[in-house]
Amino acid sequence: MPITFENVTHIYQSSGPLAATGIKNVNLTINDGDFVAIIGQTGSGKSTLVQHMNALLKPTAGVIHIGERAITPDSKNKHLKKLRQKVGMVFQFPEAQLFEDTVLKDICFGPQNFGASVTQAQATAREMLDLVKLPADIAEQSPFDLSGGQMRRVAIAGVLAARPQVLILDEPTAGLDPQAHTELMELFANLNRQGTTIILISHQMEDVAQYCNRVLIMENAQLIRSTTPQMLFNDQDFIIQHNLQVPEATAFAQELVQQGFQFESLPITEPQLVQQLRRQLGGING
Amino acid sequence: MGKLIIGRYLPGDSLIHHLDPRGKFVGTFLFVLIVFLANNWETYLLLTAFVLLAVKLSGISLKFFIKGIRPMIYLILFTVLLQMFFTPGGDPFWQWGIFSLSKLSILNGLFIFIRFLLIIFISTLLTVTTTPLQMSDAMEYLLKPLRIVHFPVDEVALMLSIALQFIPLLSDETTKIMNAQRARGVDFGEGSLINQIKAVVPILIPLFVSSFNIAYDLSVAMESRGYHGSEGRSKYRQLQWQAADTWMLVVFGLLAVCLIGLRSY
Amino acid sequence: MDPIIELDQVSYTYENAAHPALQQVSLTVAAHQWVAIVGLNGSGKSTLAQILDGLLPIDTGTIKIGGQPLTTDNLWQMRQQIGMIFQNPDHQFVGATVEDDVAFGLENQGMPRDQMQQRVHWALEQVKMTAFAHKAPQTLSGGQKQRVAIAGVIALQPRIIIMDESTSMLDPTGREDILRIMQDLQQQLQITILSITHSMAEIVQADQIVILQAGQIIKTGTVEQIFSNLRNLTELGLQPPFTQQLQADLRAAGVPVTAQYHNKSRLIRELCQLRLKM
Repeated sequence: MPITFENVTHIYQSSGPLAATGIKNVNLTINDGDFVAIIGQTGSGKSTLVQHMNALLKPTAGVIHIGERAITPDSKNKHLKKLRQKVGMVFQFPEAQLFEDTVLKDICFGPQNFGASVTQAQATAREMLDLVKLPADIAEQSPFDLSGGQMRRVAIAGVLAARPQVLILDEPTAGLDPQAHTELMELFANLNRQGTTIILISHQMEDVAQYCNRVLIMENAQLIRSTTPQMLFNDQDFIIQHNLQVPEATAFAQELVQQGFQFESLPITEPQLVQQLRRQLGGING
Repeated sequence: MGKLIIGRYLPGDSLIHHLDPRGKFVGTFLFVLIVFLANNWETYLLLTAFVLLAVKLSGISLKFFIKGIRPMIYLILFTVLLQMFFTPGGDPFWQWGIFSLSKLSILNGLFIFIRFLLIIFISTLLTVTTTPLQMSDAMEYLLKPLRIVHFPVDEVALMLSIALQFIPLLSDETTKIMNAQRARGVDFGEGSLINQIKAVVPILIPLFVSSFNIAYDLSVAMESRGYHGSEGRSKYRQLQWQAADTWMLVVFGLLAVCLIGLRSY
Repeated sequence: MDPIIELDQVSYTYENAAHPALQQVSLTVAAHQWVAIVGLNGSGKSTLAQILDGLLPIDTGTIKIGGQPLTTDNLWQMRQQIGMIFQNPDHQFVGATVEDDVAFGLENQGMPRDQMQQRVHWALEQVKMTAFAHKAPQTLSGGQKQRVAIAGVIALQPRIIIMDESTSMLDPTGREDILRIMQDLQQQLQITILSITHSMAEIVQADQIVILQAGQIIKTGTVEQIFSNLRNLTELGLQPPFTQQLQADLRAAGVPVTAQYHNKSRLIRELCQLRLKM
């Protein structure tokens, strides 16, 4: 289900004196099976952008095509369920959305809203618990008795339970320990391999380099560039000009370049760096 | 929510904005009392001129104040009509059962209408030129005498000021939770009444949980910074009474004197 | 150097909890150190921070701050020596403006107003937030809010500052910013810092690392001691630092770098030497 933006602008409280531009003249296409990163400073419009992708926000100008559906400023707020079932969204700190008295019921909430029967929803929910690596016996517990990390997984399971074709993730691992971070990122990568389109808002360039095939850069409400991570992190002028970070492997390689090393293309992940260094240094002593 | 004007602060740099909130509080209260001195054309004209001047001084457009009446207009009209039809005396030129209309009762209704407008204008003026925090400071000061009867004035003031501050945070939180549940397939404002009531639960519970979390975090933070009740605390923020504030009260006094002179007996 | 914090066999169990949150924890921290406290979510790190400040009463064991045992009687005096900065910048504001918030702790001590004004001014200067003194906290960015929280703590001139995941909700710019400010303040004011964190950038610059697992301290040591062995690190809530991972992977790939612990610049130097030999 591809997503296309055509000249999309969103102005908050557009009629009042407090009008503020959320996004301005955005054009983009996200293809089936993409793993897209959206990066940019806090307040650059990343969250506003993604909230258009499941019609939580409507554009104040322009058109968005989500699969068959077109969303314009005049679109009615009706019959959006089908769309929201196909485009799932994990908000920042999603554990704040839990409300049912058991974990199982909370995960079932989405599927049931989208029309699944109780038995269907429960079967899916149990499957999702396993997917996010939570023990099965947690199902009948109250979500509020769990640790913060477990609550996060329950919330994510609750979104995955609708089996979306497109999954939007707004800093899904913020505040988690490195182990939980890796497990969740691997889970998303797996879903992507099985065909789910993933859209990830992130500040962690390691993840952008390791998992994403495309990266969108937002600045002051505008989409200033759409490229691949490899191209982005090799464009040092652009990185400096727009105050962006690079992955550690790239930063390390840049320091080596200053010491006289040469790379045909700067590595963006650690395995790439190892591989390139082996080619350059591995010759000696076998 | 967006339509209610009373209770909303509009930032500005006018003389009225800079007056001491305690003075403004007392002044507004005085005004509400002296409005009842007016009982003829001259006195109402004087009061209206006074209020318009005050609005002018605040630098906020009159349109804004007029918009502020809108939510209350039916209540006002109802009261005014009640007054008109039920005021006895005068020479009724129309009568139907207990209803009657006379020149006197129409005039009376008109005066009451003006009285309503003036009171609404002046209280709107107080709230749009005074931050909620200044209001709570002023209340804290004016309620100080209640300490004698062991009313926890300082605690209540601190509570109020914290509560005011967390309103924007909780309102953001509400939007966020609503969006998260909409993304999970909830339709707000659609379907039967029962369905709509049901849709509130997934918002209220997370909101309660968040509020408790915030309250818990805040209490730990306050305790770690040495808060243990208002005893032995000093105060950083202080209100400053200036000459202009005294003058304002003098003007209110003069206004009262003029009204007493002009009203008919 | 004299220890500023001494924990001896400290245990704490939350009400209705099946397992103790902290179990027989003993720890000594020398003054003016930067101690990183790490571990998986739920390993007892925040509990440790809160018992140090007397915010939770311990079940057994003793806590000494600056050589003095912490008791219920001297709680409020002891607490003056410790400042805490919490995770969520929105949940720790008490004052309605930046300066009011910085003054909050001073008001609690009953400090005279003119002295307070000086302290507030000084504290805001230290975190470069003077220009924001009259602003409402909602208008600030996450990083700026945490700076204000820092000002509120240093205004009280504590000897110890505990950071409970204070940078975890910030973006990378905010995170770097707060880390730099804390490093400067530690030098300048000679304070001891205990920092609960998952951030590798912060962990590798610490003087001492304390690893908690299921309520127990299972390892303490310097960066070099902790990271010379990369095995099992993720189970402890740590990632191998980039340099160590690279060094290990290069060796595995047959590049002849030494096995000894290297920081970044030493590894770069060694790689350059290897290149020149080719």
